[in-house]
Amino acid sequence: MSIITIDGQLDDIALNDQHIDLTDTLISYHTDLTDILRRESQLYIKSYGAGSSSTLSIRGGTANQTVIRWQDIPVNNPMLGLSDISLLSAGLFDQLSVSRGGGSSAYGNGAITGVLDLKNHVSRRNSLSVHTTIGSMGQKQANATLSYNNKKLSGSTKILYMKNKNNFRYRLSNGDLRNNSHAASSSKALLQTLSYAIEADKVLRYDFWIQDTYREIPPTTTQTRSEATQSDALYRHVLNYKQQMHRWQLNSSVAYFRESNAYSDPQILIDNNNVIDRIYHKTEAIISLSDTELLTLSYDLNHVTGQTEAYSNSQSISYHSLYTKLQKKWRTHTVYVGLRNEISSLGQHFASPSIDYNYSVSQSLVLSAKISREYRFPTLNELHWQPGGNLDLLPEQGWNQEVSATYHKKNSKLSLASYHRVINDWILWGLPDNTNFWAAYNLSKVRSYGIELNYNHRISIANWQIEIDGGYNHTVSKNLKSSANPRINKGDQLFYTPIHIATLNLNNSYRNWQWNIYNRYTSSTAGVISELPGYLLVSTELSYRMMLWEQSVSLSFVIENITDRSYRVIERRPMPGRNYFIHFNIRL
Amino acid sequence: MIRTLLLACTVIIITIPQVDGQQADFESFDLEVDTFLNGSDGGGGFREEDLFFPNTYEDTFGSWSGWSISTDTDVTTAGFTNQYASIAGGGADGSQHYATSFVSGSTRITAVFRFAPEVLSVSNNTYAFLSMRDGDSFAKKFGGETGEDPDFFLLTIKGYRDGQLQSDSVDHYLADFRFADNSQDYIQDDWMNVDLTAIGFVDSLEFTLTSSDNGAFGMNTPAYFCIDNFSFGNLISTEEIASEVIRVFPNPSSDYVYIDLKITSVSQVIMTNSCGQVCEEIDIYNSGEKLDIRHLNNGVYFITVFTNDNKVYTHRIIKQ
Repeated sequence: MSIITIDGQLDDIALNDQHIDLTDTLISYHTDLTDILRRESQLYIKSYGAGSSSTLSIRGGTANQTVIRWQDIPVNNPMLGLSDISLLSAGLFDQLSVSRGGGSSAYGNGAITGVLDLKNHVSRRNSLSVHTTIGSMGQKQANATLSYNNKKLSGSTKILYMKNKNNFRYRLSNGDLRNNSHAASSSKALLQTLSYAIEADKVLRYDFWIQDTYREIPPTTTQTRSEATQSDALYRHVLNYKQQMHRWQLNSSVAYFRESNAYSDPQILIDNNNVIDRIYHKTEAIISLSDTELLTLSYDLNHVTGQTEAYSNSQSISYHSLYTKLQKKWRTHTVYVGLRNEISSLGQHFASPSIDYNYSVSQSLVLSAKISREYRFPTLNELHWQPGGNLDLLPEQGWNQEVSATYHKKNSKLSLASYHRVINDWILWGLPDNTNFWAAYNLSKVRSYGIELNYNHRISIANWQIEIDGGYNHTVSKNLKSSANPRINKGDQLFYTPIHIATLNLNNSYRNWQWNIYNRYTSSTAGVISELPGYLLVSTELSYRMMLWEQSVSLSFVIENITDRSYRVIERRPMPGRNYFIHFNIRL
Repeated sequence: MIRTLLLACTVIIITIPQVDGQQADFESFDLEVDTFLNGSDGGGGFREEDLFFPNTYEDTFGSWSGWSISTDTDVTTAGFTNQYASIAGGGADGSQHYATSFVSGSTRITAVFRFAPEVLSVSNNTYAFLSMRDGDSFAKKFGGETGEDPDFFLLTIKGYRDGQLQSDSVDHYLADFRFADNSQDYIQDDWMNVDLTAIGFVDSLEFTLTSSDNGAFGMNTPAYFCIDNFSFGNLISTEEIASEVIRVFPNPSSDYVYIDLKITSVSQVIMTNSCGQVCEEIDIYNSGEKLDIRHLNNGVYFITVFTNDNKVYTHRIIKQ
């Protein structure tokens, strides 16, 4: 289950960071992160349907204003600037952390609205766990984790296979039912983690992630049929060296990623092949200046190359960035001052300062305030796509301010955060007068502000435990400039950005039984074609855990969208009605 | 001798102020089947009879708008890669050539003469037709999820005279699903004649497309249509109008002509032959300079002036 803590980790300075344990048996049956984030957070997921692409929006930003990282390395597609979270299978990772708020200073290019971190941990014991899931949409999933450990070498091997027909029924506007067609998907993945302790304070680690995903692209609700398919393949390698000394720590990583994406639609004779290469290096030194002062210095190199027929040839960009952060603590006050300087090989550069102040009013109450300057360099597509790429684009940039308070006492936690952000030179694809193709321009300026409220309370009565977990996000994200093409009026809320999202989860456990019910309300959103009505989704889950032949075994039955609510996240893209899963897990 | 006689006839035709009954059927372009001209030669458009069909071609990205000339017969391939074809599988009345328009805002036909449009054959473009019939990842299948949506795809034709929009216009529905009885819903799949006589005397026509399927990024229905066999008559010379902008002398000429531009808001000046092919792009800053035409074959040529406010003036010259 999700644990919301005040984390002492150096990078996790935001009070409302959220950490989700993906090894929890009630989490790991989800095929991808989309369902988990919907259930465990109030983040907005822009989904094209079950098994189709989905992207993340934090605090009213766009998907390419959030950085997604694996083992501290950004995995956002450098051509699009975003990451398709439907390709991130939950069974492959150990922990998911969500950091909301301005993160450009700490995390660099693109972390305007936040960071989503995926981590794999080094195992400390020998174990094998196997998960299998079958579901009503033709879902079959199996994933296994083998962990091993000895004095010098430890590691884990995760494998995953998933197949899904996604042939759910959905309701049309006149009440008729229709089957989703041509929507099958399959994925197979291997994630290997190896850690070798050279000495007690020197560790060499290697992570390798390989994944192949194939999916059919279903027709829209206003399309007769579709024959489009998409294949995504990735190979990601990360080598990390960590050395701990008396007053400082050295942490150095080098990574190589190769990703390919092939989109084919024989109906319209489209056959696109994209290949991305990324070479990444980061060296970080964390120096303890005194018992109350910590200095972080780091250097990042991110070299990306994109190849596609829409570029005149392959295009590359290198980003170099220097980051320094000073953390000073006295009594109940902690201040973090950070500064990042990032320069791209195109000559663009940006300085991103941040200052974060935490005040522990009491053991229960912590107040925080933060000001930071945010930025995002244009993506490869925004620069080089033909037609429409624009080498004269400026980086999106602006200031972010936020305050938060967290009250934590015994079995309760209440947190409240408020933020305000203005981003200038917002990049949009537009069609100015006297042109006949869409092109990328710094067309808009966007102000975003809102509040985030979270409450968690646990009650224990003998063998019965109840957990109430609720949250509410109020998100206003408005264009401050109007545009003819696309048609945007000054003051309009951004497309696909709901103002209200609320969740209320009730978790009951009694002896070996657990029964959870999840409610999530999403208010109406402005789509690019029409307004999409708001909707309430209710899901439930009944689990039984037991020891069988001294092994931990659990069986779960899940009903998603109990009320069979018909809804759309994107116009003309059907979402599943009521559907079922049975999940079995065993840990040896 | 015959050549001299033909040239003499041409001169006579030009000097007659009023001519009846011409038809632009695009057959003079003499293209092979399943080919097209999309303005990639930088000509800025195509001349057919006494009409000019402007085209904007973007050389860097190979994109275009306005008019293309096509002989494409593909009626089955959906999508953007089949953007030049007519759903009728060729030109009107079994002919080979026709014109396809990609409408970015609006598309125009301009003329050397003031003319009276009579009848225009119109068809759907294959890309647009299949998109409306089957839907695609951007545009809806007409009728929507349930077949009940009152969708339409409308071609509107308006006339301009002396730069002024005329009050009468003609609407033609390329697809219409607004009928209470759904069995009457249609997407036009062949050439249809459209009566344009209501428009009256004009010196240019403007074509716009509107659809019921729109979003913030504009019209979702592909903005294409095709025309053929455009008949028009009652031609009245507008060279007097053009002569207020451009003076070419001597005319006829065998070696040099002088081009005198009388306005400054000029964006482009080109010389085309009677097939619409560009012979020369003339430096607009060389107004008054002599233009060498000795290398041109004898015949009729057109000097066309494009102004910054999107007006087009054409002056014909004769090389002899």
